[in-house]
Amino acid sequence: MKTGKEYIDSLRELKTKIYYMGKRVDNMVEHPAIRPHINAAAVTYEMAHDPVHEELLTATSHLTGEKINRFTHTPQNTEDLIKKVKMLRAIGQNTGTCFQRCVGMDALIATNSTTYEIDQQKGTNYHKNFLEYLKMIQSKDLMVAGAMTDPKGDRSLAPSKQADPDLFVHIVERRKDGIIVRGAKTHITGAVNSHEILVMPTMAMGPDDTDYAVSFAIPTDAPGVLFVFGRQTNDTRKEDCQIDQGNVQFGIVGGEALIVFDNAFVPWERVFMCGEHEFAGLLVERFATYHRQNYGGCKTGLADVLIGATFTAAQYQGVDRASHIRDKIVEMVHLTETLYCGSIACSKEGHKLPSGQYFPHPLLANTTKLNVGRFMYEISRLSQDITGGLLATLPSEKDLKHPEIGKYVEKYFKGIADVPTEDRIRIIRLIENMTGGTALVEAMHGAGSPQAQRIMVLRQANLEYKKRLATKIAGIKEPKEGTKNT
Amino acid sequence: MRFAIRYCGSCNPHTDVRRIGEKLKEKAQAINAQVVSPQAEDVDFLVILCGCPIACGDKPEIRSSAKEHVVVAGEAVNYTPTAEKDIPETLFKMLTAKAK
Repeated sequence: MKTGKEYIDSLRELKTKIYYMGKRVDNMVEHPAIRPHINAAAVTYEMAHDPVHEELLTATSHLTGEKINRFTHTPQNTEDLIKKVKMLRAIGQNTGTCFQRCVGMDALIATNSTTYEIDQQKGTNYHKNFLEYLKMIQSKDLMVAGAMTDPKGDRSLAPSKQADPDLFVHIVERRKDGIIVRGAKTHITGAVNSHEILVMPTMAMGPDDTDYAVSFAIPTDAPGVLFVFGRQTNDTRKEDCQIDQGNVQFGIVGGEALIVFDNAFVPWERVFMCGEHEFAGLLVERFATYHRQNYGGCKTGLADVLIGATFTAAQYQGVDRASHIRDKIVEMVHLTETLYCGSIACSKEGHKLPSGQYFPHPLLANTTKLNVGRFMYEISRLSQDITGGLLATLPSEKDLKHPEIGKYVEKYFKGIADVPTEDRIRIIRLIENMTGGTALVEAMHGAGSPQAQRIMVLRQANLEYKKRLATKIAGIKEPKEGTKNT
Repeated sequence: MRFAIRYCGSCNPHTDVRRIGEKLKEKAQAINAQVVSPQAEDVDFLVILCGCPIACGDKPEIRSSAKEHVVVAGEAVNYTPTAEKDIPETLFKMLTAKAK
């Protein structure tokens, strides 16, 4: 298993083509906009070597029997599903932000089970090829970017009906040695600082969309692949500030990027779906469920940090013993633990798939993610309520350290007597960056927008069963078979 | 005397297991107890150090990996309530008794 330093050093060897703010990024490791995200991902490597956390961060490969990083493992039982959630909470507590690597983990897990089922029905070799790929990922301990979301253009049209055929990743040529692909994947977490990209279709597809039903793996620095790194709230603070960044070491959100595939070549051994459109929806549902399972893990880790920060801010302002403050803190904890309950429950209620891999309870997993899209906003609202208007009006650290006016910032932004003003500003900046702008959007749209979860909830709800329960208790006779309302 | 500490994973601990472990290792120097990896063979005494009462680390296969063991589950040692500040000393006394 790689250490955090080995992971960072391995990125220096890549020739990844990255653009940011209109410029080519030559050295991503030292780039101020990208480095915090690299540091956060490095924690997933470093904690695997920490005796305190290795029980969660490591697993035994079912393929080789070797000890591996859990981010390259596929769940073999419900205990693995639970450990996945607990691992994410533990890492979130240490980074206070997205550490990105779970997307690729879930892409590996979803592709593993789906390729098995494609092969069973179609007699293809995708699963065999995928297992070789997975073994390579496990042995080299690589970071994989899971890439699902296409630009999608006109949402009312199928991929093959779009005015521009490249608005969904698609096969443009089938060769003897592999395929040529073109298109893009949007807002892909941890993309630029991953070693590999695992591409999956973005939605269920029909017979007309055969060329769009494609899954493959490609190195991040392969020819024909480029990245456009996204802007974030307050990103210019990364250029010349420390305190004002809030979380200077790990940043906020997951360093999302647009990935462009401009006639990129993929050899056959790295192709895991090629035209089997009837399995596109299955792969999407698998990935979505595994990923939604996570959100009561990682986000509760972040919420733990935010609750700690909010309580500290209240202490620094001398209001921590006020009953209404304590009540709001209780509400933040209550919402956090409700999210955690969902992730633990969907893991405990997991079941076995045909490949032997375990799958979280899809209704509970989708319910959990739907709650995350609401509760993280409420947790953040409560934090902002307690912290106060300084979240929006604090002067910059340059003013705090200014030789002439610094004394005024120091004097007039002081809270209780024995806490330095700088400490108060630091904790408020952390809260500002964790609860504003990009950070909150990630909670809503990461792992799919709320409507995507509502569709899954409705599909899993078994309304007919609930209807039978009600009609029986109400004394309504069952209608005869074949009549209306049966 | 070869002793090891096996941590639960510490996802959302009630106690600071790292601090407890470090304190115990510090104290163990006084009796020349050798700290080894929990995966090592011939572990005389294994401390299964869990941060909360769920005690995820307390499993039969882990217990049986050493000659003797103790389970710390949050603020409890062998499921007897023990304040966090007293846990290192309690473990040290057990370690000392085993060493004799």
